[in-house]
Amino acid sequence: MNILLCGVGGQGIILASQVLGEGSIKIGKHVVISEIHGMAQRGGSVYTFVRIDEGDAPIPPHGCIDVAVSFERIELLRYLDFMSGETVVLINDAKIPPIGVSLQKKPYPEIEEIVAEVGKITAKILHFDAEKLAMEAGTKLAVNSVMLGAIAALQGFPIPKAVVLDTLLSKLTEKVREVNRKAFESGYEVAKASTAGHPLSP
Amino acid sequence: MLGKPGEKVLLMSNEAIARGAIESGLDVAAAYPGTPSSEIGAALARVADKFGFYFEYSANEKVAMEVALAAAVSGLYSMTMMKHVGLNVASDTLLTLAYTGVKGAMVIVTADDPSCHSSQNEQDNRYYGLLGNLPVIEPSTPQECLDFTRYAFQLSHELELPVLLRTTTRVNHTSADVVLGDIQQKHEAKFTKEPTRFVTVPAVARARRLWLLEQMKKAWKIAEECEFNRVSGDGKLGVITSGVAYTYLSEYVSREKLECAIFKLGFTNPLPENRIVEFIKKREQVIICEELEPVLETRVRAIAQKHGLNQKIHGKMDGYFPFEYEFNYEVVAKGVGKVIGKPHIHEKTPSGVQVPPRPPVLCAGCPHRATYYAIRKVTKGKAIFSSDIGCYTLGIQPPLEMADLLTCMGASIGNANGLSKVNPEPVFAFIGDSTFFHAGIPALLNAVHNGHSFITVIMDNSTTAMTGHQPHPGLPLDALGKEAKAVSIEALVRGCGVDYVKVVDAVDIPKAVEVYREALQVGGVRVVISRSPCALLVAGEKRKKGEKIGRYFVSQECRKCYVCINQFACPAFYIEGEEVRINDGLCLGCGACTHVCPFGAIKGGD
Repeated sequence: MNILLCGVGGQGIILASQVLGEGSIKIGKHVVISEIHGMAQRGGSVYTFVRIDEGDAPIPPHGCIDVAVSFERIELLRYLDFMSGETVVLINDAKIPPIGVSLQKKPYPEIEEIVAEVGKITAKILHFDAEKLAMEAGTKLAVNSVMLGAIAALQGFPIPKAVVLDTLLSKLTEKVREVNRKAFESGYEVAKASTAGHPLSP
Repeated sequence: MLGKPGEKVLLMSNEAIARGAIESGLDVAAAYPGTPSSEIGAALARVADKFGFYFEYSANEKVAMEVALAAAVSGLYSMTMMKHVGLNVASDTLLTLAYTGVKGAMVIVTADDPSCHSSQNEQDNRYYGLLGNLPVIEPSTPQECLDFTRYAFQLSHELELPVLLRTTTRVNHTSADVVLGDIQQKHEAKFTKEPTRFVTVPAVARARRLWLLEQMKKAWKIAEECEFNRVSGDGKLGVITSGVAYTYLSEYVSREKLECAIFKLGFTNPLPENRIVEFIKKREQVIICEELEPVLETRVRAIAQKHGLNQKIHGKMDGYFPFEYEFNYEVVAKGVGKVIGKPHIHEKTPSGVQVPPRPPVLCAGCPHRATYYAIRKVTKGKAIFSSDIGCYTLGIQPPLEMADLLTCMGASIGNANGLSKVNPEPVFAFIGDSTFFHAGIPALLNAVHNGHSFITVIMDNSTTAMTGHQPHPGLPLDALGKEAKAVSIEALVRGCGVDYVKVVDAVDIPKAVEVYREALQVGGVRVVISRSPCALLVAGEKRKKGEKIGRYFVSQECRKCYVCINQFACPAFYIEGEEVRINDGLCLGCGACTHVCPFGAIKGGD
């Protein structure tokens, strides 16, 4: 299985990838995670590939992503080459406009436009406001936990929900565990409700 | 990293290299941080006390290599690790170190950066192995990073030569399940005087040159036997490959069910010449698949010529693979596909919706932005801005546009020496605190002695920020977080002979503006230390202590002049409709923007 996680620096994408990586090892799978963290500590585009039982290459071939997760609404549009009609897509509706957008007074893509664009490639799209769910759980910083919950809810996802959640919590300090558990569960519930009897299965 | 032998854990290749060194009985490690190698040092710093080895962040790569060299000639096992351009800094040491060799063992990690993800060039450091007559080992995966590091230590001990462990960004930053090995004993230090070996006066160097050539002959024999040079598969088509290119090639071969033999090289200098000849003889065509320069290809072609082999050889030199940028599945599939007459076509899927670019920018709250804003206000951009390596290079982005020339570590001041000599405009050199310690000092005292005239701004954010907040000689803490003597930048600058030295708080823009205005009025070498800690460090500290981050917001008094966005451009700002807003998830409460708003509309901070 090939998973793409993308978003903006500071959203916890690397941590989410590690959770999926450690979870894979716990269920006895070979896993390869590729990340590029270059110039910016924060604010730049960040993406990782998590490849479970897919050999050793860090970057998958084009058209081979099974699950694509966009932690910010536009980010997935940079990686369409990697997607196919089989790709299951999760998008956080929330936006983090880069400063260039404000500088040039350019419009920021609406979520409907983005969904329509991704929809040209795959019909298996679930989008929701993960930031709102994270805030309801207690902090905006828990967007990654919401997204992890949603990933764990996908039909046929190889790592059991409990393993993903336990791995996530083991990487957090006691203080923020409860908030992130709530965030994870809310992401799980949203995705579970939407995938029931829906073609959102890998 | 701390697991037991036999345990399978998720490790990034850089952590696997650190673990491989510890398993080899590492005694001493020293480094100057540099992407993509930085996590090796971070991993070692975390466990140095537990495993009882010495680790330091050195002032630069050359010093780091010398610390490791000294340990290795004293019989210890040492490692130094750096990004590709760091090895340029340390190359003077490296190329003579090969002549003396080592007594214990020494591994030098060179982390190259194809595609320049976070570097100023794309050099291929395998050439250093050829230039210096040094063995080169190239891992492809995290597990190999651990195994090959262990092997590199054994090889170094056996040959008494330092060994280059060459990685690339995509290898360094890949994580995977890695099986840990057992941890070997550490070693006893003993320096034995051997001037005919270790004192490289010409007579000694001439003799050691012969020794070095002999050692490389021994290395060749070992490379012929090395299990990390291995052939898999069979067929009339053969591929010789190394590094991350191997992983894409194997995926291509398995997806396309291609009948071919793969010679995967892990020990790439010297090459296993006899085995390469044997491999080529069994094929009709041979492809050389490697990233960056044709380092394998030129030598394989030479070997084929030497042995009178007529098989067709394809690679970069006849246009099948690119010289530039990192490889991926598509690049490998395209190249191999062209050779076998099976064109690889994958339609690109451009987005119909315009995707706003998200280039790296200075973080919200970054004090460098305030420094640049103040200087832009004073100069109106009418000056030459000589930049350096660090976060502050990001000042190149509009609207600040505060970088006109960038070469390498320390070159902001070196270049300003020449720029100010030949150009009429005022010249500013921007350099970070860590970079100043690394390579800025000789250029500064050169300016004083030779009577140059420019302003050096030392942008002191109290850390080596870009590579992940490592300490440097200006801080009261060492690599392990223990108390250390802090070297004063002011004293150092005065010691270089600079008389005009000012210190400003970067975030206090009005006061800083006054200082820069005054500095522009006088001649000679002027140094302004623009000080304010990295915003990420400050926010991190506050979070740790449970203190609130006093965020700012835009009040009703905003008259929509957009100066905060159009001239200051803190990424926490955005426009919604006509309104200016501050993203409270990004604002780190530095308050610099309150000095920027002409109407005092930005409030908060408590």
